[in-house]
Amino acid sequence: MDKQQHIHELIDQYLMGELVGQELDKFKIRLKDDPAFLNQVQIQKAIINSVEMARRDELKAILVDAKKPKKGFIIPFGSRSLAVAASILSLLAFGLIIKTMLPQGGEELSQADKTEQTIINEPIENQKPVSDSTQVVATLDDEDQDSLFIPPSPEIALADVVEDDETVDDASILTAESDDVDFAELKKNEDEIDGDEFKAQRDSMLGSKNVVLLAVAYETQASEATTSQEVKTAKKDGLFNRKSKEKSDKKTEVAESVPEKTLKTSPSIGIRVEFWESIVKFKGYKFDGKKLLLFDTPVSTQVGLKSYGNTTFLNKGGTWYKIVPNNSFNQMIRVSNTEILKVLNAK
Amino acid sequence: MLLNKRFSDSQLVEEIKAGNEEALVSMQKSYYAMVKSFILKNNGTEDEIDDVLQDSIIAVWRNVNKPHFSLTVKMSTYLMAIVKNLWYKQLKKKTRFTVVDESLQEKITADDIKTDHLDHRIIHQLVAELDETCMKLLGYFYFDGFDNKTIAQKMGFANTDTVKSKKYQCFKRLQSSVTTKFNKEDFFN
Repeated sequence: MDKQQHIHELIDQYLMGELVGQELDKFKIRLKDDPAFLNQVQIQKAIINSVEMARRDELKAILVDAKKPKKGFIIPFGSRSLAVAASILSLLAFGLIIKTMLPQGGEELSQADKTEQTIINEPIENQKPVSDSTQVVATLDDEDQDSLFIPPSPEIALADVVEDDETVDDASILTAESDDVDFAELKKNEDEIDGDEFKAQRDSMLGSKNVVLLAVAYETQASEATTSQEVKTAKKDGLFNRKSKEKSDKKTEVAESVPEKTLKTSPSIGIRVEFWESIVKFKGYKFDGKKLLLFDTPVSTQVGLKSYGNTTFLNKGGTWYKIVPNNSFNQMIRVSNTEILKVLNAK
Repeated sequence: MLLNKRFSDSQLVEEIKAGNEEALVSMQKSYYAMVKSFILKNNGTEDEIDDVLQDSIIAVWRNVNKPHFSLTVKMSTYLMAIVKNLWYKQLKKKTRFTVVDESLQEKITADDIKTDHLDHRIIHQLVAELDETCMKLLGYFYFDGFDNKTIAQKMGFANTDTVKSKKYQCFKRLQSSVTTKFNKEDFFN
């Protein structure tokens, strides 16, 4: 240890009150007699004061940091039980909202889709026009399926207008209240429907009307005489084979060339159509087969319902939508298949 | 990262002596309610609680590391003595009604050495510019009062001689910077 380091440590000891006896006396005498030494002691004291202050600030910063809420939010111990309760309530409320908003009965929906898919994929040989409307099978090629099953966004669906080349015959859409409809039965069915699901909290019904569901089907006048072999031949010729536009055109020609098959529209059942305003601005529908709830659709909108095969279609303001009876909240699926539209628009 | 551990009194003393800063946080959490109650009953406000408690805990930290320290009362009692001391000191400044013992706070006792003529802001700045090792070493030695053995352990030095040597180097460098910053008139005004 050199002399300067020794002096430095001596000054340290003095400043910390650790110097005693003769060494202290000697130190004090030197302080009085040696201004340079006094200067050194003063500077050392000032530096130590600054070092102490810096370290104090560092320790204080540790304590201040420990008091700060971590990750943005710390709940005091006393409030944690309340916080847990609040969290559970929030989750429940969120769950209820989700339950109200999103489609339910996923299994039903899947099943419905599966059923429809099965029908579509059914061999062409098994598909033939028959007089019984309940047995009419929609025959769609892959392209048509895509256009039918890809749901458009709700905004697009609701903003849809009738395309120029697809004039809708309003007369074909019956919106009259029919005496033939058993509204007592409707009411009964309505009661069977889970009211909580249909009446979303604070959603409000704007109005309702009863609409007759019209069943559209091909009627074969000489159906008894038509053999399955003839139908197969007709299909092979392009009657229901629509994998390309050319074939589709051909099919039309062939269909027109078969005189015994004509489209027949007949009243089926009464459907209660309700117009609802959703608090979550849901745009779509809910349909259980007997009652149709339309969300974000003005009461004044002209609506009509037709069934073709196993599928139900809604005409809303002149545009056709496919509706699925799965008792869930669904988005509107606009019908773009020209063949289906032709059938639906037929008188 | 400091964990929220709770220590017994003897553990607190051991941890403070070992330089475990987690002990400070533990004390802050353990004694907050007690100090809050005291401050609010003695003309204090919510805003003043943290400051008094933190200064008191740091005073305990320093005192525990003083040579021959022995905790003869409960840590809470000891801390409260410091809290009261600090608080009455503050009240004295505000209202001039109480005189209290200030002996617990001061480490450097050489009051005859006056440094008022020096610009402490410049010295603070130079200290702040020290490298981390020097800053920690000098802090441990002068503020925390750790002995050279503890500092060697905490900083990973080979032995106490290394601590002494390194500490002197750091101080000398700082002293040199301070000296060059000041002109002679500053020292002999």
